[in-house]
Amino acid sequence: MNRFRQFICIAAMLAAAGCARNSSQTWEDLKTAGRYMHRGVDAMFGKEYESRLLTSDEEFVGPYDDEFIPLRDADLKGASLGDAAFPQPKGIPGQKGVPSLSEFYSAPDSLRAYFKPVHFDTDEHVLRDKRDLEMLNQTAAYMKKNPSLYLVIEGHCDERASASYNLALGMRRANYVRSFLVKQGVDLNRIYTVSRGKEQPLALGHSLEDWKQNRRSEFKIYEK
Amino acid sequence: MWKLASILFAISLWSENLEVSLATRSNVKPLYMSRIHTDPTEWDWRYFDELRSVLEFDLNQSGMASVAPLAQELEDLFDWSDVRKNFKIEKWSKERFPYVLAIEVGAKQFTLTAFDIEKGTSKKYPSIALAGRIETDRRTIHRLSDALQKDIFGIEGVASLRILYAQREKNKSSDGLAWISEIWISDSDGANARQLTSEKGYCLSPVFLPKTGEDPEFIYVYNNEGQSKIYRSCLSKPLGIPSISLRGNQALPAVSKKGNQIAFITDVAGRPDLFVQNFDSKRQMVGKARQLYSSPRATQASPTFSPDGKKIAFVSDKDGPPRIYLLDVLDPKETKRAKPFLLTVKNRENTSPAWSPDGKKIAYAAKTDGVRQIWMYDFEKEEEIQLTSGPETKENPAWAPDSLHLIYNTESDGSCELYLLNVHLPDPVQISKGPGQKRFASWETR
Repeated sequence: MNRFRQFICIAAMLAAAGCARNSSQTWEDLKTAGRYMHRGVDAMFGKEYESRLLTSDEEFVGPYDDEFIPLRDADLKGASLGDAAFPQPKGIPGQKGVPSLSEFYSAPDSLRAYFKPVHFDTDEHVLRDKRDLEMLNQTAAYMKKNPSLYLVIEGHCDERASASYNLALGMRRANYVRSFLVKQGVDLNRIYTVSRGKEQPLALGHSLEDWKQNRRSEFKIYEK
Repeated sequence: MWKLASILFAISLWSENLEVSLATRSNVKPLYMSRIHTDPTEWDWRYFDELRSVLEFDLNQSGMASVAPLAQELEDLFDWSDVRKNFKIEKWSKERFPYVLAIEVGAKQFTLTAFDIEKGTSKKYPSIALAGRIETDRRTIHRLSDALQKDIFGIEGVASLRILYAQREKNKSSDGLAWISEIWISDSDGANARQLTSEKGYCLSPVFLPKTGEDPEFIYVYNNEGQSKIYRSCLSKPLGIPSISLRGNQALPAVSKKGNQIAFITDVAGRPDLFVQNFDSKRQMVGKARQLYSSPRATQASPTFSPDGKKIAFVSDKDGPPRIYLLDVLDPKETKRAKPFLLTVKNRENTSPAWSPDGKKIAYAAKTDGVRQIWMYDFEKEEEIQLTSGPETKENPAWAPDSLHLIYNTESDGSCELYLLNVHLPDPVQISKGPGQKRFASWETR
């Protein structure tokens, strides 16, 4: 009950602080408060969302083929959330037959339809546009038919958020697209991701349209 | 419970009215610094003027002193035949300066004598041999300034410590990325800027490692056309040694004060998660990297260590817009769960936190009335304080070892410059010059 009370307090504080702001700011605060409320209610029924650390020496050492010590959190591994995470490819670019990422190139005109840039809403890493999702279905189908094809997905952002946060958001976007393709059955070891943050804008203006163009994931391919 | 909620409601509205509380000049003491007394035929006057202006800048930025304009009637009070012995303290007592500095140059020796008028004491600093090269002599003056500040104000200055930063430019070559970025270094006042890396790719986020020898080392993120990785190098020569061995992209590194931990963001597990890697005293990895925090729908960014290395502040958008959270860096064998604690509630978009070396503050950037400004969370007052204002976007604050000075960068259309801010002074000063967009500063450690 204490935990529930804590969540109610934080939610009330954030909601109250929002009262003195403009409507969009208030909406952001209410969203934050809502998430706290939601977690508070879930916590009462024993459902946890937070990450946890390891619990034994055995887990600390970990299996030899694991490159890092992962969080032990069932929630993070669940694919049912529609935002599943798939580990990066085993092959290191430029080593043991894996092409160096600098050798990847933009898709030629004949393949452009499968590798068109996809676009994100502001501060979002989930694709909303049906045309983008349909195109990605075709990308996945083409990748499955061509097992010697490797893909690099770049995540880009518009200029409005900070440069540092955008580097992480670009990572998020590229990995979202990668997960989408992997869930369609594409071999995860053939898809690499790169974040460009807001460092490589396509449009240099400051209009809504410019920003939309820059919030994108681009593709580069390499055929063995 | 409702009583508590209503109290919190009232507090939150009341705190809304406690907006900007900028620092003031109330503790700054006036100081008179003489012209450089020398034989005019010996050297170029412009050279001496520059050396004097270096010292003046450092003292003005100390937050403790304000150097008064030169005045002929005050210059006439100095007796240069023996400036210390013949110092007219009774006359200076009638002036408004608690401290007076007399500077002489002779036989390529720079000599400073400091007078404390209130205490009636003086100190003649050992003469400094001038090299005749402005880049070397500037650094010598910075060191003198740091020592002087320690003697007068009890706090060693940070003027002699250098700044690393990333400089972004349009790629002049038709190959590769449209924009490239390299790591640069400059003095704390922006002078003596020189390029350190020549990757012709994309280098970002340089961070000084704690000093272990004469040749300071640093880490940085290098992303050629491939994935971004963390590399280690030193100031004297480019090394480019991979620092962390992990698949995927690694970005936004932070180094603990002891240098035994590096926190970073990586997508090795498929999301931008917070990781930490331990290191030994020879900068070699110890054990495997540990995933410290991940959230199914969230983006994590910009970790920064508390001075004891036991906590990390980082950015996450797990509850909506990006905000700053605190997380315990638990021992991997610890059975307790680490839960992030929301720190910044006043503004919505909070990014690039930097924990001060004294552990008492976290500087960060937060969108304020539509413009990203530099803010500071004060742990003692438990208060979020706005440090900058004005129309330009500002981000990436970096603390100096004295926990009083910050360097941050502005971001505007085609222009990013570095600014020096003393938290006790209201006005930041632009220190960077020349072409290119300068960002992601890091201050040299002692």
